[in-house]
Amino acid sequence: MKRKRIIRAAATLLVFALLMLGCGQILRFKNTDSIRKMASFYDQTPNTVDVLTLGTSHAFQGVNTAVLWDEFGIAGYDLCTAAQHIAGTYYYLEEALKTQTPKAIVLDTFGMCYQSEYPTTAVGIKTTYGMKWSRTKVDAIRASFDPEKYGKQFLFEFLQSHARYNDLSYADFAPLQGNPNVYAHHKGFYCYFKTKPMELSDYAGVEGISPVTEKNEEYFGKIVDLAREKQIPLICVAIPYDADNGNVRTLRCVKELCEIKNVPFYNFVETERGLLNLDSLTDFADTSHLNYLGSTKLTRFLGKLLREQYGVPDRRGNDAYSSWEDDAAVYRAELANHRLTEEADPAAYRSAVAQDRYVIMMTVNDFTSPGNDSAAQKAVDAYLETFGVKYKYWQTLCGAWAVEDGRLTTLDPRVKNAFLERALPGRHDLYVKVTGSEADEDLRTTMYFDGTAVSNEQKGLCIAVYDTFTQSLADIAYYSTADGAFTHVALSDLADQTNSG
Amino acid sequence: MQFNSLKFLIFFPVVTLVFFMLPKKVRYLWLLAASYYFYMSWNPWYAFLMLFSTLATYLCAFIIGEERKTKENSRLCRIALVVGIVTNLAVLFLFKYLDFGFDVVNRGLTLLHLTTVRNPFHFILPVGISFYTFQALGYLIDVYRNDTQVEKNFFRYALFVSFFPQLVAGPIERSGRLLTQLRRLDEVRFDYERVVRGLMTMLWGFFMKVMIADRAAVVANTVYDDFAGRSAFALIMGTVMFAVQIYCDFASYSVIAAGSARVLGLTLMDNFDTPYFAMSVREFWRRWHISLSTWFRDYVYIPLGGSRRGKARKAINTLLTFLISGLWHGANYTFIVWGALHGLYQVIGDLLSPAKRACERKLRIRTNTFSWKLGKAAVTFALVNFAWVFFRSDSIAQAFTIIRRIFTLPDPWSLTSGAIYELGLARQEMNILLLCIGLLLLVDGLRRRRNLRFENLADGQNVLVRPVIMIALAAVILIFGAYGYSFDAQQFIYFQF
Repeated sequence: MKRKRIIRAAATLLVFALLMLGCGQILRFKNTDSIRKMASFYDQTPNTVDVLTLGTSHAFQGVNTAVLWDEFGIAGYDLCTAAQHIAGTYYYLEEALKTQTPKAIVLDTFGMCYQSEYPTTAVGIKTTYGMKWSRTKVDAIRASFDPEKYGKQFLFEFLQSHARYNDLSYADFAPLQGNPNVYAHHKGFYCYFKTKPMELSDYAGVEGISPVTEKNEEYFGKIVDLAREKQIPLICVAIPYDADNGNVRTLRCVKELCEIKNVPFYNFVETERGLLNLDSLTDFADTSHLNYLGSTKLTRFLGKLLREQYGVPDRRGNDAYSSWEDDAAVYRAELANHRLTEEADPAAYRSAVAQDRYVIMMTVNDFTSPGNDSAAQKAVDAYLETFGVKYKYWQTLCGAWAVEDGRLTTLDPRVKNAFLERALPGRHDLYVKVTGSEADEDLRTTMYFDGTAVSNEQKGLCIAVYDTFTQSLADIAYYSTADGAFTHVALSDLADQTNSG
Repeated sequence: MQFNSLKFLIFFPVVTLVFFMLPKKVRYLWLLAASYYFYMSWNPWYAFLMLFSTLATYLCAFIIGEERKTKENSRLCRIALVVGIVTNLAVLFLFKYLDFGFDVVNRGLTLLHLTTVRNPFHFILPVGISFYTFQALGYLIDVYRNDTQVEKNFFRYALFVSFFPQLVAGPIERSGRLLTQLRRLDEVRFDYERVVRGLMTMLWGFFMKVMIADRAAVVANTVYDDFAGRSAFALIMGTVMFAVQIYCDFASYSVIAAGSARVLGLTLMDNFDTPYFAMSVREFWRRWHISLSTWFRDYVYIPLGGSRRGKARKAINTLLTFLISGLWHGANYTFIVWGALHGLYQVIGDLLSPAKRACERKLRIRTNTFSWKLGKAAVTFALVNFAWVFFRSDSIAQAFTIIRRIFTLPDPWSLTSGAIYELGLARQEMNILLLCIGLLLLVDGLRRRRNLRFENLADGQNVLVRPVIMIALAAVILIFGAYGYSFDAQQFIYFQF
């Protein structure tokens, strides 16, 4: 009887433990800009990262690892978190040096501008919860959460992550690392393809210096000391953004600290801004971050510096670094996709999308009688011809077409419950639904991507281009039958869905 | 250290394990040490207050016991009783009511156009002071009345006053029950069945606290902290949710206390028995905070004469007892009004009782039907909620504003307009709360109708039912519980009393 009870109690505890372990995995934080980034860092082959970039979102959206690789063959990794305080940065360095032996460290100094003792809880979580359990993680948590306010509750992730039951998505049930082709972080780099034209502030009239906090100064000193101890050159960089006057004064203090510590400091916010030839109308994604063009300029400068002054080697052609080549290929594909969204010439666009890696789906919302040679029909015919499809619109009696690997699938909108779909890699779903009836002359086709309507009611041809390589929706274009205008739809609203794989 | 804290989840298993491993003779010393550690986790210095209260009542009871060996109820016995009561109440007054006392005096002085006086002391209210003081006083009075045996072992008596499961929020145990059990602590054996039932009881307590009380608190706090401009619907919902909060908060503490004590082989008294199913305010008080109600009945109401000295005296005694009860809950006019309201409900109920019965007879109302009982329970619930408005408000003026808005600005359309989701809880959280309240009604209903307690739910069922219930409940609490930084940590309400 006693033995039976012990077995029963042990079995109950075991089932409970397994259940909670599974739930814990599903519920744990998986922020792409921090926790997944750290997980990916752990996946890097030991001693392969040659340039380690540390800091905030300024750095992981500024130092373009794909450009570093493509143009210099430098194996870089941006191990950063949005709004990370410099204390968190120190523990990232400590953690990174457990597995990697970089030839140089690029330190984004924006984290030293924070005046608060602790980051927000969200930033604290992003900074620390991606780290593996070790003394470093415990110390990072202590440095990130006010012990007087929160006690030790942040030491245990589940106490915080359990409340994520409201936010669960596909990504929470998938393994932390999915298909490397869809891995959106490119060695920690996040690329902004949008552009915000703006005018950068002039700091000529800003006088004085604002001190960094004692805590920031202490942790900056620790970073310098650790880098020296490991004999790794440290390069401090204030990455360009439209800083307020307070931060400009703090960065001047950072410069003084760097001089005291004998560490090079490039203040691209103020004094060395001119070195990059940035164009404020084209090179910024927003007031705080560079976009793909700006990051390319910054990275070229850093790449040259790292090669010429620090002798960071060119790893291209080395099999041990193939993942850098793979990730750079994804970046190149994304760049090509971005250029699609800017293409204004329909003929050039047709040529650009005529590639095997694209799945094209088209719908028409201007059903005229077969044989009526409308502008939309001509456009459809031109596209079909580009993809090697010999049909003519008026012959197919269709409202929607899908082209994949040169194969054509069609949809006749007059058939009841007509439905055309493409199950795409990366768990994406592209389909066309028909509403209304031909008799009532309100027949409509609507295209959906992952459940969201991507075509509107505009009369004409809607073209969706899905990239099977990056596993994302590359573009949605409209060819208007009213005025022949060729336009693109902003994909930003669908960004979450396209990145969720 | 709160029950719903990580510290307690480590503390309790350690205390239990060591308790069963130690020689039986010293178990009470271990529990005493654990209890003081538990209490000192709030403020180590306030443990001295508890020690003072313990010493004072121990010595007075000891003197009474020794004196009674020679004389029955001598003058010394009475002096010892009075000294014990006065010193304990003085400490309670100093730490709990001094600010309020100065406020009352200053209001009087202001009315007389005299200069007000400043309170030079501002003490932080020691957690649970009202509970252990009343428990100690109960013992002293019982000794004086010869209702209980004097405890000569100081450490055992200190454990009776400080026993950690019920230390800070009750139940206020009687010496006749708890002290007797503590004397037999060496007879307690590890009983698997008892431990599992104790753990299941604790789980249900945690469910009430982190799934219901702390969510309902968000609604009550949202409405009451920003009551101006709120619609009648919002104010009613805020009040009803406060009713849910205070029940689940307080009852959960008692349930966890009972479960913890049970694991350790001790039985604590029931403190709540489905109070919101009560069909009269009098019945409500037989089911709500039973340990305090019976304490006031035995040590205040009956000594005042109870119902033995005529209807008028009974009414006065009832009112007086409830006024004191209101004051016990907090040093504020709102609590006094709350107590007075409950006293009035009962006095009016008694006065109207013959007329009510006559009406029932004349109209041939079948009082034993479900619909009639439901109606009575609904009216009782409404009366109790009306009183909760005063209990939850920060001032009498706030309570009157809320009541005025409820009655003058009705907005019944809000019932279906989705306004319920605009009371501080996100839609999913509100749905979880409503679902959990449904489960609570079911469990309380089973207890009321079939006398089936939660820990006995699996009795007579397949052997797998109990582990499945426990695993599911624990998982639900851990995942969906209102704790962590995204929820404001809610302290048990009754800690402040």
